[in-house]
Amino acid sequence: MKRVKVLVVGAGVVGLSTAVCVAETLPYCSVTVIAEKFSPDTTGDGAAGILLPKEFPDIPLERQKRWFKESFDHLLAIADSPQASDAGVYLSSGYHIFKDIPCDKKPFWSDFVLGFRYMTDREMKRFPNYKFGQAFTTLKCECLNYLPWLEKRLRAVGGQIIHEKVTDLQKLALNYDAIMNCSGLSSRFLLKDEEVYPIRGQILKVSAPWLKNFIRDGDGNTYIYPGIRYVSIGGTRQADDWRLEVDKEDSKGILERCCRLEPSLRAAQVMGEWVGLRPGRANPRVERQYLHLQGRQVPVVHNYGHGGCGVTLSWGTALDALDLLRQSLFEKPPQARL
Amino acid sequence: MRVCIIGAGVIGLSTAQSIYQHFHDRIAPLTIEVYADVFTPLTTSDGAAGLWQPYLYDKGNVQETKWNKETFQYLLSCLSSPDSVRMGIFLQSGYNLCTEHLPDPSFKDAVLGFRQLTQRELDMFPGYSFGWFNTALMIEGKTYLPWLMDWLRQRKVKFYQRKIGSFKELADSGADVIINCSGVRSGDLQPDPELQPGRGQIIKVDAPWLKHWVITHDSSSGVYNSPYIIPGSRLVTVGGVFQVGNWNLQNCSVDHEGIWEAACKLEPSLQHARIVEDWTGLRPTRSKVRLEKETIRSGPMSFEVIHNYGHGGFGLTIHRGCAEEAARLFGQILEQKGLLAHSKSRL
Repeated sequence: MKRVKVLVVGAGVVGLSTAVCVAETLPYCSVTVIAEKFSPDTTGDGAAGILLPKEFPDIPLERQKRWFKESFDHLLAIADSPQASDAGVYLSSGYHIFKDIPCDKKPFWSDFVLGFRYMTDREMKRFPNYKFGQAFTTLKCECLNYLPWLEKRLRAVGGQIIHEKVTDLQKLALNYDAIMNCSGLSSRFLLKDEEVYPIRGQILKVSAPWLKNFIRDGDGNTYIYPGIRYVSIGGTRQADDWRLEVDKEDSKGILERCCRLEPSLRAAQVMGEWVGLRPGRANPRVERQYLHLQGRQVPVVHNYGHGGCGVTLSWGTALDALDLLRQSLFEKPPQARL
Repeated sequence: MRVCIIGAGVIGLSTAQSIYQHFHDRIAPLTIEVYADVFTPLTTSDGAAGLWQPYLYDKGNVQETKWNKETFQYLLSCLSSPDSVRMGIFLQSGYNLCTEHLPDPSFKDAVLGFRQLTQRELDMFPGYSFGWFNTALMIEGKTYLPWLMDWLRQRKVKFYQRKIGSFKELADSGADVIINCSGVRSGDLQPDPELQPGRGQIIKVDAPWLKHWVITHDSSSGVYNSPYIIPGSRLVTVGGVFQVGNWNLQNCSVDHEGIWEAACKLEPSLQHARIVEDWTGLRPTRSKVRLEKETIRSGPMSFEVIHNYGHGGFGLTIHRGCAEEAARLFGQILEQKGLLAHSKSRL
């Protein structure tokens, strides 16, 4: 069979995961990743990388469960292997605390993380302003390690990399048999998808190596995630905010809120600040489309709009995208229409 | 009143602290002196990983369980103080793995969030079929001991770098009460056939992605004679061995290989960790902690000794409870001597 040329647009955690899924599973495909930004300059590189999903309104729950479970199981196997330190994947335990008791005390993902339970009274004592908490063990996947590790995996099966900004999908489609669009926030421009919008997030990187457990406020705005090189503390969730510069007021707010949750942070040294734009969307778009050009039907599999759940859902959505690609390669494409 | 403490490990220093806290304003003058040939960072307490965890079962030594719990509560209360980082105290969760179903351990109510491991968790550790998860405290000797010495120095406690040959030596020099916190070498001061070295060797590695301690229990090999991995604030401590009767303070290659192989099986990611150094220490092992008063007669004189040694592999775990008890015994001595006014009034 002729080699099927697949182009993956985007080299963030979703793009590289998708590329590796395709390249490792479909030997008859030759995979090329094209992107402007690579690690350490992707959005995921600044993310803490804690696996913690949120529920999207319009995607069937079974599909969301599958996305998370497959991502979790895939990364757990890596964490449990000699590759763990190379890949930057490891177990992380901690507390998810709520000022008001949430309606959903046991979210859909509670079965997929490890050891999920409610916090005891003694554990809640540390957080006097909070009424309820969940304790569990999840995974942390640090893109600064993981993305180069995925790239190695891709090259090992013959994948190619092109450093170039994509501005015209139609033009690229002329040279490829299929396109996987993992362009994150850039989909807004590339596809003119107005549903994609930035959710600005700022974090501080602090040196506090005595911190081992994570703490996250259920409202998502305050969190402490101990990492390999530093502790990420945050955060902000500013919709439609395109600013990539550090906001000093945000830093002040973050430090204040996090020190209240974890007083020992007052002794921590701030190593740096970082801003990233989450590729927000009401729901991630994982679906297939066709580009019609010069008598050809080129399948385009979209896999973008993961918001703050990129790392969390990367492998599961990549597998989903792989499935959509596989289907389109064996299906008859729909009739050309204007 | 002159109190001389022998030993500057965690037991000696914390006992000095408790005595100061309880009596500095009830008896004047109160002179506290610490004598030791070895100070931080070279004591046994300095090399220990610093995980607060007693042995699984206290074998009827309920006092020890009480002292362990007291220490945990004390350290937990220090967590929220601005000093916590300088004291070397922090929380860490982890796994106790067993090769068979065992009854709940003595510390299940002391620690936070104690529960059994789920099957999925056990699947991560082939060879282990049962276990527990909980959040415990870390207390790093290399940080805690300097903090204690600072605390004591600020309160005019004096330190003397000297090997004490006998209790009498100190008594002759004017000590009113001697507190024996000389750990594994207590036998040099007073023979004690129950006291034995429990030699331990550890490997310190750089593996900052590890965020949980893992302790394995194998009834056939005995406590701390099976692998354990305990991440600290900077390095990870990998062990272990527990060789009773072995006084060898040198690192042993055979032990190193055994420890490393077992630990890498338990935690595959360790294979890529950078090994920093080995360290050997002698746990002051005893059937139970010796914490009691003794009146020693020397000719026409007699002097009081409070023994506080034999804490095995749980010195950091039990230190505060024992220090408070030692202070209580000291109080009894003061009362016997009629030195304690019943009211706390002073000029």
